[in-house]
Amino acid sequence: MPENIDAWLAEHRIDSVRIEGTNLEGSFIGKNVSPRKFTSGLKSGFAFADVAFGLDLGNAPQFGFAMPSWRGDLADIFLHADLSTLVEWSPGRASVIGGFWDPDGNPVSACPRNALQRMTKLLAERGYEAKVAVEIEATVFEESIQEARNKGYRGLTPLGGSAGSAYHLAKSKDWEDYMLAVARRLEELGIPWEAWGDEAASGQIEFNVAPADPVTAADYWARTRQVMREVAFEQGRCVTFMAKWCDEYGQASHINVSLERDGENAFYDEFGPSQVMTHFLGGVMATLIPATSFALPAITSYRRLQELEGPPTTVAWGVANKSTAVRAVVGHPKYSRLEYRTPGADANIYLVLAAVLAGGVAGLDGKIDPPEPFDDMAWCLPPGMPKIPNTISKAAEALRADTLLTGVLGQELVDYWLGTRQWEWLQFHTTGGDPDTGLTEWESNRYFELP
Amino acid sequence: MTDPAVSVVLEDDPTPLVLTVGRTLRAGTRDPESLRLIASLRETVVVKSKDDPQAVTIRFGEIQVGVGHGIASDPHVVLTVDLTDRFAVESVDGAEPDAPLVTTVLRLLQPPLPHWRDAASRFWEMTSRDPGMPRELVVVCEEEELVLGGGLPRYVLSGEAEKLSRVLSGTDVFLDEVYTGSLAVRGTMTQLSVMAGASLKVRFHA
Repeated sequence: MPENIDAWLAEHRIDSVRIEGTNLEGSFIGKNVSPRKFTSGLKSGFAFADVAFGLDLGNAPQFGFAMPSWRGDLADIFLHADLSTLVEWSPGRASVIGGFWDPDGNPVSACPRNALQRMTKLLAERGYEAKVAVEIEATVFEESIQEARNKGYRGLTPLGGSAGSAYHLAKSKDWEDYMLAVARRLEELGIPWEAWGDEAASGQIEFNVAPADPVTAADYWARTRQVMREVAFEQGRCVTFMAKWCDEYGQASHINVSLERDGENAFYDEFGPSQVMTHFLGGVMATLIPATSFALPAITSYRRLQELEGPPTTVAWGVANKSTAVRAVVGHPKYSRLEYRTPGADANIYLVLAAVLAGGVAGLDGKIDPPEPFDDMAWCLPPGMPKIPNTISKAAEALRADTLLTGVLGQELVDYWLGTRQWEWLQFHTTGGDPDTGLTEWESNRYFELP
Repeated sequence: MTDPAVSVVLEDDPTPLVLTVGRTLRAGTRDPESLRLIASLRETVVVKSKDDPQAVTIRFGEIQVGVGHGIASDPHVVLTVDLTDRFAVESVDGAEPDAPLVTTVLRLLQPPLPHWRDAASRFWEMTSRDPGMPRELVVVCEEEELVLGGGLPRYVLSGEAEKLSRVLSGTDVFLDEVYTGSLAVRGTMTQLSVMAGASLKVRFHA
């Protein structure tokens, strides 16, 4: 964080600052302000109409549920910039991320970044610091975004061809050019990328960013996606984070979490999961079904849940078992962690990470033991194994019935979220979606560009 | 002879249209004449929207009526309807438009509207304790006024008698009518949202 903001702005010849936050849908939202406006607003915050949290991805106001006190007749809420995130985004342009607060100086309960900060604080009060890494998957296309729009986001050509599967290196130069440009932009922005590569489906890619504290990891996620979009636009390409844009393999946002205490990995034990990992995992498993609503937020999110295709379909965890919903990596003092494999690429990582940590906190507090680890393949199982909810409405119903996760996350956030999920369900069914066909035009139009 | 007992069973994870049709048929089972009609049917009927992919299949049986989304492969009749106009029929496949099966099903899907005062009272009874609801709901129909509950905050709803009956009984969608101007409201944006939710509750679960 610069010690003298005015000097930093002058030194970098900044002529505009993009102030950024995240709404419930997971889109990066914000506006651009002059350097003068930026410095004058640092204390008061920057006013946004509360509709920033009140519009769906189709630009319709979401109604049908009780609103918290900060939502009124387009009342103002205020984005407070977190100066630790201030960077020079491009020559002359700065970027800063913040959270939303109400006029009385209280954090807006539905602000995903605020929620994640609350959960991080709860862990800190228990003596732990989480380390998080998010796997960022997306699909890149040869067409420009304008061409994609003109084609209704259908019949597009995956960049890099349709042959092969994950990890192939025999990719054409246009694909390499895109990936290298994204990696270079991340480097310039100080986002410590670790790896990128070809993923399972045509045109599908994955970027891995280094582990960080939860809020920083989520900020990295938001900024990396922004970079991926901007580079695609610059190169005349387009990119989507839809969980499933066609009948090929879907795309995920696996979250890797470990806890540190006094600089040591608290999940590590030479004989398997530590006691801390066991209880954290117990809470995560106990809240996995209600947390699905956050991990799979959209209608299309659930199309990804296909047996044998990678995403988990059953509520199970296992050591090194990638067919389960939670994979425990154990026995390494540095790498022992939990991999939460439910979220789709369309998930709002601030929110889903808040939900994962909330489950972990509940587990630590309640000393919850997880079910027995699952050693077999967790797909295509006979009846009896609890399944992950497979529709947006079933997941919402599970969250509505839950008290454990809600008790940590906060009733106001959960109620507001559930209202928006009911709205999404209603819009799909009543404005052109069809539950009995493959991917619908309604979904392509709604989810291709956002979140 | 005792009245036939017929239950309306919805599919697991019902769609909005399944809930709406289910609520309408369930209301019929509480009316002796409608119940007699329901109990007399054994056919499978598809009701589908003229405007979008929404569709339900209704299977009338001896002791239960099953309602699920989608179009069955074996319907006796398919009714294409206007969902914004109380299931008004646009076309009929599999039977003559005036066939007894068609008229009976339509009679069940288009029950007589309650008086707007009765609809308002039932609406208030079902929703007034929901989070965020106003303490007082004032329903205005021309020169008449019905005050439900008491105290502040207050919400005012006004419109013609039939429109009020349709909206407050869950037949029409509150938000659609506000957007089109056929229903006028006075209150906050927050209350509009809550009232929209209350309307959906009545439409889907009354």
